[in-house]
Amino acid sequence: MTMNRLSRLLEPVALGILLVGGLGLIVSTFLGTADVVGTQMFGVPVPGATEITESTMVVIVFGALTYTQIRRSHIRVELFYMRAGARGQAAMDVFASLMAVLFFSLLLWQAANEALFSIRIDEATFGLVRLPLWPARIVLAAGTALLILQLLLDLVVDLNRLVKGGAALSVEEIIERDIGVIETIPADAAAMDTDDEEDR
Amino acid sequence: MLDPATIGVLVAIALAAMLGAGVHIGVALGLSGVWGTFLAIGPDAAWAQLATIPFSTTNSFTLAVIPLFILMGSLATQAGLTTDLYRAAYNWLGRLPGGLAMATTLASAAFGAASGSTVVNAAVFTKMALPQMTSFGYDRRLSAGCIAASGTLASLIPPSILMVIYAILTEQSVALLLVAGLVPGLLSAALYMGGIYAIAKRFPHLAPPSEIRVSWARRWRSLYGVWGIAFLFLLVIGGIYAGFFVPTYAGAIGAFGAFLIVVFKRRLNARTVVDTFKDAGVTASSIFIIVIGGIIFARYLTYTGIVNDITEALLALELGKYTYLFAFAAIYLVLGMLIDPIAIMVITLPVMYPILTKAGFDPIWLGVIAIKLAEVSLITPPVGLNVYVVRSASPIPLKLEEVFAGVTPFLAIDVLTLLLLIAVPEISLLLPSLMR
Repeated sequence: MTMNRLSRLLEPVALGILLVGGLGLIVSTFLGTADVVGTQMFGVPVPGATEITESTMVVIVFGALTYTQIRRSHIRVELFYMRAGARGQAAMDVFASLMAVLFFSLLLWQAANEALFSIRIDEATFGLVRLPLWPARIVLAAGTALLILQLLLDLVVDLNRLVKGGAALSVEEIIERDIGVIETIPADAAAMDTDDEEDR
Repeated sequence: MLDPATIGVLVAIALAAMLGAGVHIGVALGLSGVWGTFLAIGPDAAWAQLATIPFSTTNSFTLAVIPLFILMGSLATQAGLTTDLYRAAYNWLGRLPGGLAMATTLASAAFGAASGSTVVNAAVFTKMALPQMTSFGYDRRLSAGCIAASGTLASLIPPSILMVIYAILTEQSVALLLVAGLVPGLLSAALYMGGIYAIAKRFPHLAPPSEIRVSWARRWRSLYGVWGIAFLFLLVIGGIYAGFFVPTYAGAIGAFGAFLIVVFKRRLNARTVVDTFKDAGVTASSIFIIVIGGIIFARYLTYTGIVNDITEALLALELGKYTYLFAFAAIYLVLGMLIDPIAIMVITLPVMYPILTKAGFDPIWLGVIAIKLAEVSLITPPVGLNVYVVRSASPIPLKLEEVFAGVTPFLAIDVLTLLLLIAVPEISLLLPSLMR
């Protein structure tokens, strides 16, 4: 099925952008630290550190957007969802996806205009270092576009559930889906021993 | 053309309907804000919000502190600092009545100094401390309640993401607010520990004294594992307090330090890096979508004058300032059943903040109270998010009622803490006033 192929393709792409954003975040921590050390100790700031930090934040937030949707970790009210049956949950998911498609499509339309305008006027930061701003604006628009694609894929899956029915998600499953962080906690943080064989 | 009040009612209904139907909170807020602006002012103003706010919110040096604090917390988790903290706290407190539960509270508070997330705190400590306490014969309700409640300490003890969001939404100083949370957070932790001690003294069967003897040498050695986080905390908060660097750079330095600890503990590998990035990316992304939607919604409320109208109408009632405060406390407790603290703040602050500051409350102090309230709402029956988190993260079968029963004494302590914070504003304001 083409749809399955598309969604299989989308996940590594989404994860890839997320990892690029993560690398950018690490670079920002190095730059920020260097800027503080340079300014406080030697009176020499790192040129462009604040500007690069700003652009990086666009990449981490809008880059991780699609992966967040794949994990369905976007925060929402679950009180009624938990009490709904299988069809009810599917209907709520369909509605939620439709609203998200509407919001992010409007956002994409405006973001794309802004990005094109930014390229045309060669928009850059003010100050000593003139860092171009259009790359961040393009990432914002592209990240949003990718998210819309993922939302549409989810919409098809949820519509399918709406038609066919099936088992409703339990409260545990919903919470676990929302709090994806639990699975990234290192194994030995979860298994702890206080007897004598520790002390490494 | 509809009049602003009618539009306001329509928008409020739309927002409530979308939230109830499980639409993502950021999307629901953003759409309501755009729709309201569209109706009240016109399409150009509505589209302009969408064109500017997403970029200005993310491409922001001030707000960059949020992803950096998140990264710091993720790295600290990956470095296994929770285990080290818990081990050290256990070695020092384990022999006391209720020592294991007190150790959980202390370690959770200390980990709050690296992570800003209540939910993560509760999940991590459920997996780690709950089996431990159960194997020592602790009452399951007490153990689970202690973990759920102690998780909430993270958001007052700096660096707190919730504090940053409050600062952004109210246009107050991030640095002052971060520092303001320190003493109230420590006070909460101390009162929790006092409460556990009293319970264990009075009802020894709930928390049987531990038989294990820990040598002084081992106690001191276990501190070796926590010097990293202690140093990191002093550096980040001390630096902000002394004015050496702005909060965003404190976040950068904190994350950099946490990265060094990961390297030093020989935990740097591809898996750690990918997990850290996934965790930080997903958290940052979901928080920022709420903040973006929230700011679009807040702009709508402000631009159309609705906030002004509501504020004047409510203040005209002349109810006395504490009546307004307690009314908002009640609203927070209800909202805490539905949504997490970030969303509570984003939804309520545009209206609550102008009313309460005009009623005469200090904006910094109000930040401490609002965050404490939002956190308390997470463990309040009948639905508290943290209680659900503890139950679903638990490796031991737990009933929801058991966790709620266990949380009850901590709720009582929280009420006491809140009253103290309200009665003595200096608890929150002394440190920030020394900075100004």
